[in-house]
Amino acid sequence: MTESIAVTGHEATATPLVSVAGVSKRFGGVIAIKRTDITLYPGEVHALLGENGAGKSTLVNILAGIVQPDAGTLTVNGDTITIHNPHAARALGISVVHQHPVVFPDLTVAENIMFAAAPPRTSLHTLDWKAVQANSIRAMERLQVKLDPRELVQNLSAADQQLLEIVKALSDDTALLILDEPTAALSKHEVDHLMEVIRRLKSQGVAILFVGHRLDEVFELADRVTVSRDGTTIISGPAAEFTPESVVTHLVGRTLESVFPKEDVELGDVHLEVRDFTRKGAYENVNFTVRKGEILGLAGLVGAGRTEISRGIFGLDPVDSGEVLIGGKPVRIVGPGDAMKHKIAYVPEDRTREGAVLEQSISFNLSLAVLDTLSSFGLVKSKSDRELSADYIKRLGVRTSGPEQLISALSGGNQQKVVLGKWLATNPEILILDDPTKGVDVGAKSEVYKIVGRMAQAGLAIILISNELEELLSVSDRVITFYRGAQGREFTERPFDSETVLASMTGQH
Amino acid sequence: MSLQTETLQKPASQPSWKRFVARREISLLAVLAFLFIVFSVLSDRFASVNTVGQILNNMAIVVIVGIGLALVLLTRNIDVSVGSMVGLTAYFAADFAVKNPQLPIIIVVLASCLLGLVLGSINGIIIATLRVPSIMVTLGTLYIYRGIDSILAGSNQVTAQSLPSGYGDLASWSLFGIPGLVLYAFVIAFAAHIFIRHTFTGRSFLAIGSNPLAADKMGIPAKRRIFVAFAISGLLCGLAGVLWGARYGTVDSSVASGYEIVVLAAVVVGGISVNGGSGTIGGVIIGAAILSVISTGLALVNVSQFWLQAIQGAVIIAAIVSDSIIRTRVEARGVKA
Repeated sequence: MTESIAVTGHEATATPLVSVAGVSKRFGGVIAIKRTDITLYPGEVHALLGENGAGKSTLVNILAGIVQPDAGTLTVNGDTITIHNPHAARALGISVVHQHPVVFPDLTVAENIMFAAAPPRTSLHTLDWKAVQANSIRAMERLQVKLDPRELVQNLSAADQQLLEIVKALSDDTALLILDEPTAALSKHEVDHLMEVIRRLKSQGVAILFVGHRLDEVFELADRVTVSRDGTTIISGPAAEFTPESVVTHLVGRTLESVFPKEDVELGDVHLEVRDFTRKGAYENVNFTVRKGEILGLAGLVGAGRTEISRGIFGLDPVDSGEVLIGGKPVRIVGPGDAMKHKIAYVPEDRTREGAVLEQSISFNLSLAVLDTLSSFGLVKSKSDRELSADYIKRLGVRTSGPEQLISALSGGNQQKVVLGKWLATNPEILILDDPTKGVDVGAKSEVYKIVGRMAQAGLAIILISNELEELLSVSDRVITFYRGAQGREFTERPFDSETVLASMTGQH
Repeated sequence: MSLQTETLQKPASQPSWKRFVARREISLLAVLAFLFIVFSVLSDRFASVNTVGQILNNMAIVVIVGIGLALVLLTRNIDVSVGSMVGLTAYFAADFAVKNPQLPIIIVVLASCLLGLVLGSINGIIIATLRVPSIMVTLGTLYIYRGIDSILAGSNQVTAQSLPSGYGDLASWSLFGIPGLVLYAFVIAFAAHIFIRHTFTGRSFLAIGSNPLAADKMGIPAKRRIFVAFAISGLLCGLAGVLWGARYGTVDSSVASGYEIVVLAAVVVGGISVNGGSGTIGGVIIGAAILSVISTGLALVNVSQFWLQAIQGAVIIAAIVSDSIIRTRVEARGVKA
C-alpha cells in the first residue's frame, strides 16, 4: 500500500502514518474542536469515540480536506502538510466514508464510483464507459459487493448506498480509511460484512480510523482507542488498557450535578399518555406516561426514533397506529395546530431550521406562536407584542441589545432561550424538548435547564430528548431508553447509573 | 429491531430492452407521435412536407437556446433571461450588419455570440460568486437586458430589405432538403450530447445538481461549473439571436419577448429536471418537437395564440408535477438525500 512497514502490533518506534497535533477549529461562535491530538499507524484500527457534539466529524472533515483547521499541525508520512481539498486528501491516500452517504442519486452506481477516482478516458478524451463499468465492478469486488453498475443510485436501499460509499472511498492507494459512524444504518449482517472488510484491509497495512459510539464493535476491532469530549481528545491508548466501563466514564465525564441542578418538584397526576405508538420504520409499540411536573428523559443514539416519536406526538408526522391521551382522554392530533390546541409545545431539534426565524427580530420570533392572542381584527397590536417580548427577555435572561435585535445575531444559547420563550408564551401544559442544548456552551446549558426546571415546578409535563447523556440523567425524573426504534428499559430511581443506561441505549441491555 | 434490508446482493441487472422502454424519451416519443396523429386528423394540411419543414425550423432555435438552459437546469439553477438575451443579441447583430454591410457575415455571427457570452457570464458571475438564487438574478437581468434592447432599438425596426443579403442566407440554405437552421441545431445538440453524456466534466454538471453537498465533498468545482453553464447559455442565445434575424427578417425591440417560457416548456417537457441532476439532450430535442407540433398544429386548426400561451404554461406545470411525483416516490423509499 503506502510503505513497506510491516506493522502488526506496533511498538512506540513505528512511524505514524498520520498525526494530528493541537488542532482547533471554530465555526462562527462555536468551537467545534480544540487542541485535538490523534496519531494513526499503518495496519492499525484506531477507534475515535465521543458523544454527539464531541467534534468527531470536524476532525474527520479536516483529515478529508473539507475544512481547514484554525490552528495545529497535520503530519502525513513525516511531512507537515495542509490538506487543501478532498482531491489532495485522496492523493495522500486518505479515504473517507462519511456518516451520511454522499452519493449522486440521479447518476448510476458506476458513475458514482467514477467520481471518486480518476475517470478512464478514450483517446478522444471522452469517458470510456466500458472501463468505467469495469472499474466499478472491480472496486465492488474488493468488498464483495454486487450492485448493478447501471442502476441509478436513487433506486438503492440505504444500506446499499452505505456500501457504495465504502466502495467509493477505497482505492488501491488507500493508506488511511476513515469510517465516520459507518454502521448507523446497517443491519447486524451488514455490520459483520463490514468488519470482515476492515480486518482484511488492516492485514494489508491500511490504517483505519473508526469513528463511532457503538461499543461492542469497537472492542471487537480496535487496536487503539481515543476518547473525545467537548471538542478535545481526553485520553488515547492501546485498546487493551480500556474496558467498556472505563470508556463510558471517559465519554460521559464527571458528574455535572452542580451544573444541572435538579429542582424538587411535587409530581402531579399522569397528564400525557402514549399508547402503542407505531410508525413503521421509525418506532414500534412505544408506551409511556408523563406526570404533571415530571421530566421524562428519552435516551438513545441518533436514529433511535426519539425525535420521530416526539414529532408523532406533536402531529408533525403521521402515525401508523397507537393513541395519545391527555388528562386520561384520547385526543386526535393530526397536525401541529391540533397539538397546540391541546396545549402541547414542541421545541425542535434543529433550531436554525425549524425553531427560529433567523432573519427576524426577537420580538417577532417570540410572538410567532401566539399571534392570535395578540391580535385584534386580524392585525397584530405591536404594543402588546413589545410588552410580551420585554417580559420574556427578562424572565429568560436573554442577553440582547433589545427586542428588535435579529435572532441570527444572538449566540446559540440565547437563540434557544428565545425559541423556548416562544413556546412558553403559548402557556403549554405539555412541553417536548428535542436536544435543547445542542451546540450551546455549558453556561447557557445550565441556564436553559434552570428554565426547564422552573417549568416543571409550574406543573408542566415535560419530555426531554438529549444526545448529551450526562445532562439527560441529571435533570430527568425518569428515563426510558430507545434502541433502533424499540423501547428499551425504564429507569425510575435517581441517581441513574450512566453506564447501565448507555448499555441499554446501545442495545446491550 | 433494525431497519433490515432483505438482501445485500441484488440480482445482476434487468434486461436492457426493459431499461430502454422505461426511459423517459420513449414515452415522450409516443406523446409526440400521438399529437402528430391528432393534428393530422384535425387538419389535412398538417401532415405535409411543408408543415414538417416549418415545425423543424420552428424548433431549431428553441433547441439551440434550450440546450443552454438545460445545462443550467442540470446544475439545479435556472436562467429566465434567455428571451432577453436572444432579443438583445438579435437587434445588436441585425443593426451591426446593417451598419457594416462590407463585413463578412461570420464576423457578425461571432460578435453576436460574444455579446451573448458576456451577458451569460454576467449572470454566471453574480450567481456563482455571490451565491444568490439564480431565479432572482436572471429575473433581474431579464428586465435589464430587455431594457438595454429597448434603449438601443427605440422604435426602430430592422427589416429584411435593409439587411445585407448574406444575412438571410444564414438560415435559408439547406442540405439534401434539410434546412440550415435544423443542421445548426443538430450540430450543437450533437456536441452538447457528447459533452453531457460522455465527458467527465459534463457528468459533473449533473452531479452538482443531483447532490450539491456531495459534489462539495467530492471536490467538484461547483462554482466554476455553474458559471460555465450560464456563460454557455448566453453564448447559445447570442447564436440564436443572429439566427432569429436571419430566419424572420424583421428585428425590433420585442424580439423573443416571453421566449423563456417557450424554451423552459420544451426543456422541462423533455425531461430535464428542475431539481437538477437528470435529463438528456435527446429529451430536449423531443420536448422542443412536442411544443413545436402543438404550436404549429394549433395555428393550423385556427386556435388563438392566447390559448397557445395558456397551453405552454399548463405543459410546464404538467411536466414539473410529473417530475415531482417521481421524486416523491423515490424519497418515500427514504433514499434521496
